[in-house]
Amino acid sequence: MATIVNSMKLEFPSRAENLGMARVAVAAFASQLEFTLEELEEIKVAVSEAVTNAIVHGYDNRAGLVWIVASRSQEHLEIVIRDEGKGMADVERILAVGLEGVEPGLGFMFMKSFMDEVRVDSEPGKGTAVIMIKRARSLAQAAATQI
Amino acid sequence: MKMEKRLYGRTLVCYLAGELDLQAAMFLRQDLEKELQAPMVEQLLLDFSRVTFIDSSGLGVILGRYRQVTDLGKEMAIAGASAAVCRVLELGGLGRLVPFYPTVAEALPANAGGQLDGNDS
Ligand SMILES: Nc1ncnc2c1ncn2[C@@H]1O[C@H](COP(=O)(O)OP(=O)(O)O)[C@@H](O)[C@H]1O
Ligand SMILES: [Mg+2]
Repeated sequence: MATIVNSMKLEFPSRAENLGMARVAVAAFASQLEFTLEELEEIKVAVSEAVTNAIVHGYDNRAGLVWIVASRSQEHLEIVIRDEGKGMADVERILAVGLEGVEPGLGFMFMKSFMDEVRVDSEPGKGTAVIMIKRARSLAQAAATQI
Repeated sequence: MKMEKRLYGRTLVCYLAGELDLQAAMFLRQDLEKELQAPMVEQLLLDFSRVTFIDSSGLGVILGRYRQVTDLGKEMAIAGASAAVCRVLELGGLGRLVPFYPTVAEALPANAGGQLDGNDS
């Protein structure tokens, strides 16, 4: 990502009631970029999926903390959603299942459909970080073509 | 997440409102599961017109009810989903399984055998 011009950080307990707050906070931050309303909705789904996974899989619905760091350049939004839960053993396989014709998890499927880039950094027993990047292109391009 | 229910003939219309995520999923699953058992309910019509958000947890509940409905030999339809909600439902494969209607009114006559103002005992 190009030069970071702004960022924000959230820390909250791994409780489902915090999902709405996490979605709205990241979408509000994202609206500093020129995303369309539709793109902001996509960002909300991606955030919801990653936080839900931290709660349900990372911590197996038990107490824990979830961290979100969102940062932006002029055109890119990067969101990192991290837990210190059980971690994942075979990230590659889980992220690739769609290609093998096996039923893919809907969560990662939505994250990959709605964000431009999705990476997972995970270690069993240590935790998981999901890094997602989205480029604000629609409005920027619309403005450019009007000139 | 809130839900109101109304029976039109043999069609149970569930008016969902709010955000359909993990937080709402548990409550919604139990409630719908129970309603579907009722013998007089032959069709389930889910009104999404006041649903402002859905993710895979919400979609999971809907897909689960679809399986329950088919197992019971009943039917299911969706009405009033916004464009954003529709995209998630379609991407998740629900579009291939159940009919989508713009509004409850448009879904009902065919579904409820024209008993638009039938009993809502
Ligand atoms: N934060 C996490 N910690 C541990 N495992 C995870 C995490 N996120 C995802 N996973 C693993 O990746 C799988 C796929 O996730 P996803 O695509 O969201 O589908 P689902 O949550 O429905 O299983 C999960 O079933 C789980 O095994
Ligand atoms: Mg998931």
